[in-house]
Amino acid sequence: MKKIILSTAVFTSIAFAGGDVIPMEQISNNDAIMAEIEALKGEVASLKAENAKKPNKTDDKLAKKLKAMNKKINKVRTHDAHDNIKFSMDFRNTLDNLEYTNNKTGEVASNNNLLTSRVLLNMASAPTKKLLFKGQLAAYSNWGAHLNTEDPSLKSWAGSSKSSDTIFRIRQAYFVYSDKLLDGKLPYSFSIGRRQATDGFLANHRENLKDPGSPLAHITNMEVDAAMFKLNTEKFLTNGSFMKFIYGRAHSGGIESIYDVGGYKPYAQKDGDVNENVDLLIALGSLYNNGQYNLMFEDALILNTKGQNTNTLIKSVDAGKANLVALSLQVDGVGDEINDFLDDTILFASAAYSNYMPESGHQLLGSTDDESGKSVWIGATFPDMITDSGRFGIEYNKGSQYWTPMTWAEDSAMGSKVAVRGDAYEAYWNFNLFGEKNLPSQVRYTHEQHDYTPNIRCSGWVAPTPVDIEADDIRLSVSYKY
Amino acid sequence: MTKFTKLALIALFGMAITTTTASAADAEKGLKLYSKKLKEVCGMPGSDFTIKHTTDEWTAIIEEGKMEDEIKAICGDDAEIKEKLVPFIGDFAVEYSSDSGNVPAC
Repeated sequence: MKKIILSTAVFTSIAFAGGDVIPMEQISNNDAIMAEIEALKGEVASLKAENAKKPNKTDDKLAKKLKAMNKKINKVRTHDAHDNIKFSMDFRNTLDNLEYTNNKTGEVASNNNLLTSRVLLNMASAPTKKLLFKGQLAAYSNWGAHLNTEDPSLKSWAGSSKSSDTIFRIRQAYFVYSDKLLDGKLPYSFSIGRRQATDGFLANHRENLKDPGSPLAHITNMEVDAAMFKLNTEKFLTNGSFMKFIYGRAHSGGIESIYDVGGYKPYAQKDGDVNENVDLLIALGSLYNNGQYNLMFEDALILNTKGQNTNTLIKSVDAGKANLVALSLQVDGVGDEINDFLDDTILFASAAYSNYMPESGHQLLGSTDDESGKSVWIGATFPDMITDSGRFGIEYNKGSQYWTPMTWAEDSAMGSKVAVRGDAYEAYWNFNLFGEKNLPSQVRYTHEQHDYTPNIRCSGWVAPTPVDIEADDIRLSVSYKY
Repeated sequence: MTKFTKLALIALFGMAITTTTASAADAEKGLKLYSKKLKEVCGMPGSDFTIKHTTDEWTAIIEEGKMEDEIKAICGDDAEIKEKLVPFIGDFAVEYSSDSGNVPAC
């Protein structure tokens, strides 16, 4: 009643004051509307308060479901990421300008544009945390090559590493099983198969490879079938140290025929000094590696290495043993964050020794006495300051008369630079074509001065005699890698 | 050197200096930095460090700016690395995370 009287009084005042007159019915309606609005506001406020106390069951359920789904997806991704073979490609094309000059005879030989293509189809899988497989199929051919190269010097240790024909060969195929002993303090690995014994430690820089192969490139560069056992000794010896023990076979002898014509002895031979297996026993490892300084060693013993019988004069018979030793140091980064250039500079130096020991009645390297050889290898790579990630490299090798490593897989088209019995100088520029990291490319110049018979293939009966031969190789290469 | 080789060399040089923009960080440098700066204090090889998380988890840690904290959480408070080098470790971790499928070198 009071509200109605008040409202009527207000209406009357407005009317006498000359204001707009709102009809009485509307005033009454507005009050009712206001009252309803106030009531609704009160309801909403109490509902909000209720909801704030109770959690939204639907949102919670959805969140839980989402979490479980994400967990499942990650599990499947992890499983599938490893439960298959991952392929990758390394496709390299090269142009070599080769020239050889025999300064004693005046003979000059050259090939101004040797064009080659090499396909490396890489395979990797790790079905469990302890087991992984790595493989590599390779075809390395000269452009316009004959099919099915037949060269008696070409053996399985270099079959995919010398340019010949377009046949795909197995370059690598091995598995590695890894586990730990002594409460995890002694990790170990066991492996069998065709090894990554090419482009080894220190050779990876001149091959524009991020990671080196397993052995020390100063004495080993060949495709090898072997078994390996590795111990990670850094918890017991020095920082980053490990040891590998390898048994390998470089030559399968003892086989007269696969299908024996005599009818009873496949894969065997009669007794005699004819053709035995050439086996390798190798110990190698890192003596110290703190990520900046890496000191590696290798000692390789070749059993039944091929030489000549001095009575029958038959060559390529097992004639004795050879021992090869190398000690190589790489310094990755000069100083400690002096500047970016020095941080990215790599220096390396290596010293190696070979000793060939003929058995009685045989000769090795043209001698019936033990003959030893020595070699040094130094180099540096550093940012080119021209491109984003390009690098320059310079290297020098020196070898003595009887220096004979087992480097018959190709490190240079003109024969192994590392095996030079004389001096070798090399400069190269590694860069990414168009700045694309998947197009690593290189320009490389190598000069060899042979003072003694070059060691370009496995021929342990050939005596290294004084020569004066120069060899030059300018190589341009463009690769596709993914 | 023949004309053909000279031409090829000049062409290659021209293509070499046509570069894309440098990337801020990469996994390869991260791997090297891990070996030099963190491996000893973390007491584990890089592959054991990177598989502590999935790709998504590492990415989230990096995007939230918590990479330095995570390094300390895994390796201990003594694990220190300069701030400008942290992105490289992050790239390395993502590249070899537990579900990346990348097989480590052996």
